[in-house]
Order: sequence, then structure tokens, then C-alpha cells
Amino acid sequence: MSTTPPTAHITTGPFFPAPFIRPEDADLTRGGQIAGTVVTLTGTVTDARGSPCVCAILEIWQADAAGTSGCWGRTWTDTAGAYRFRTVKPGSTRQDRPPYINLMLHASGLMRPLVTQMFFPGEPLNERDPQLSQVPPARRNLLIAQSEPDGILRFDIAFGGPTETPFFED
Amino acid sequence: MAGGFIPYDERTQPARRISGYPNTQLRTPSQPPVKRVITDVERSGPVFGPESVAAAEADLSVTGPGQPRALGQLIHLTGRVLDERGRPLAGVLMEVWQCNAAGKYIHHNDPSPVPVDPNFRGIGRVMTDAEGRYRLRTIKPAGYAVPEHSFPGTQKNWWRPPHIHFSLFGPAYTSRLITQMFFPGEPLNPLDLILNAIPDESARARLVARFTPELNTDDGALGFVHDFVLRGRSATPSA
Repeated sequence: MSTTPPTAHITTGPFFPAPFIRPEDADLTRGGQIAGTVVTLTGTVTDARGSPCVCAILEIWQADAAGTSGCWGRTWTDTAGAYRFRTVKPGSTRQDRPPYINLMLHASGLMRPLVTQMFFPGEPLNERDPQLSQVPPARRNLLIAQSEPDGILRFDIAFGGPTETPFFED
Repeated sequence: MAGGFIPYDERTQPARRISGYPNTQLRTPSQPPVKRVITDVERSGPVFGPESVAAAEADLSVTGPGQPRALGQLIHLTGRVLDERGRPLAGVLMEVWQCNAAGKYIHHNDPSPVPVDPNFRGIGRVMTDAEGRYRLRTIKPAGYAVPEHSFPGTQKNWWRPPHIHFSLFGPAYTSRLITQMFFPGEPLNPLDLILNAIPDESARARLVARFTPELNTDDGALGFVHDFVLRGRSATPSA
């Protein structure tokens, strides 16, 4: 059967419309639609020089706490390059996988979306996760969020520099 | 391969680093990409119900009922969203944005000195029907000079050709697409750093809409057709 390659990606550019970034999309627990342990996920998005990326779009896609259905969220970075989501800790979807959150980034200068995954600190299954195991050992901790007080998880994203986030093939 | 994943073909996707477009240099990772493991989570994707889009959002050329039309050449744009085997994809949410007929975006970061058009909505959303079809009404956007002073290192005299931005949510997380649509016969097309970052000529050609005079309408709209192809679930073999 003949196939056509997917349409080429092209950067969002700098003018992604603000009305498409709805505040409620940054709260995956809105309306009590998913139950579970609530976490605040926050961090910064920086470029290869460590400068904050403003209006970088983050989309998350994760399992709910039961591990049965997917939950989507979106926000963008502020003038300090910071973002914040409110969500729940996902359940495991496979016995060999710890909880994780898919992250996709769009920004001016990203000709194609960048994808990665965020893992939770202190999860025993992190040690033998099939996806995390694909990351060079010295860089694996860059995909594990840092626990802060009050249920806050910090996950900084760097497009380059010494703490460049491991991004996945697309 | 268990948990396998077929990455995009580099020839039909744009280079990540573009000389003269500084943000592509500063925001492109230097480390090789990590091999990807796909599970049922990534084979599914967010579902937006038809009720999440209002009919009025398909018309970017007016800000509301009874309001005057935006300035510029009115166009009627339609087409289908398909998977790689040509099968229609229904229920795809499409987010659309573009500059006005003078080259100005409705955005707080647009430094362009050209005028705002108060009658231009500038953004829209539509959802594909059971045949994978969408319909939009808008005005043809202008080409515009990329503001060199805002982005040091930008190539001098780089103009973006007229283009419309599209963001599509397909059937899977791995189907997500953000792209741009160009217009046929534009002298800026062969000069654009972005369009020409795609190595494959036919992949570039597939980003250019087809002028389709049979779709012209009496109220002054020219007809264009443009299709999109999303990576389907089929591109991600089962784990």
C-alpha cells in the first residue's frame, strides 16, 4: 500500500496565540476530573546560554492515577522562563514502568517539537525502566524531578548547556 | 522490535539548525536523541469533543456576527487530514493563526510597525468531520520582514512568505503536528529560510496550498485546498 510521509513540522514561531493557552489547561485536576496525589510541577525552560525562553509552550500527556486513561495539559513559560502545572501522580501502565509524564515543547526556533519524559524521585522502578535505560547513565538524573516542600516537583528544561535535558528521537 | 518506534524521515522534515535564524541554534539540543519506547499511553492522545469548538471559530475574517470583514483578499480554505496511508482522520482539532493583510500578528510580542486590523480575528479553531475534512474562511496573510533588531544574528532582509500556522491534534500523542501552510507562486517562497530547511522537494511542495478556482465564491473569496498527513498509530509497532 502506498504511503505518504507525514507533513513537515515547522516551528510555531514567536506568535503562538495567547487565547489558545487557557489557564485551566495548566490544571489537570480541574473539576475533580482526575483523582490521586496532587502534585505541582514547576521549572524553567532555558536555552544553550542559560537564558530563559519566554512563551515556550509545554504540553503534557500522562496516565491518570489509576493508569487507565490519558490526561492532557498545556501551559507556556512566563517572562522568567518559568512554567507551572497542577496534576496528579500517574499510575503505572505497565508492570515494568514507573510513573512518568510525557512532555512536549514548542517554541520559536524549535523547527520540530522536542519530546522527553519526566520521572518521579525515589521510585524503585526508575532503576530498570526501559525508557530511562536508553539515556546515558550520567544523564539519567536530568529526567528525574527534584522534590521540594509542599508537594512541589521541580523539573527544569534546558535546550543546551551543561544540564541539557535528554530529548528523545522524534 | 518490542516497544519500537519509527522516527520521522530526516529528508521530509526540516533541519533543526538554520543559519540566520538564531533561536534554532540556541534551542537545538547538542546531545544525540534518546531512543524512544512507545507504550499505550503514547499510542493514544487527547480527545477534544466537537462541543469544544464553536462554528464561528472557522472564520478568521470577522470578529463576530454582523461585524465588518477584515481587510485583504478573502479566501476559502478546505482540505483533509489523512494518515500516511491516505485514510481520513476524523475529530482532529486544528488550531490556526496568521498575520493580517499588512503582516501584523495579534500578539503582544509582535514588534512590527505595520497596522493592526481591528476587524481581523487572526486565530481560529476547527475540527475535522467524518471524512477528515475541514473548512476555514480567512484573508490571505501578507509577507513580512523578520525583525532583525529583535533577534540579533538574524539574516538581513529575510522576509517570511505569506503563510498560515496550523497546530493539529491527531489520534495519538505521536501524531501531534505543528506546521505552516504556504501560498502558490509567491516570490518569497524560494527565499524563505524556514521552508527551504526541508531537504526533500516534494515535502516542501506539500506545504504549499493549491489554488482551486472552482471553489471561488460570489462573496469575494478565492478557493484554496490544502491537505495534511499525520503520523498514525500504524507508525508505532506494538510493544
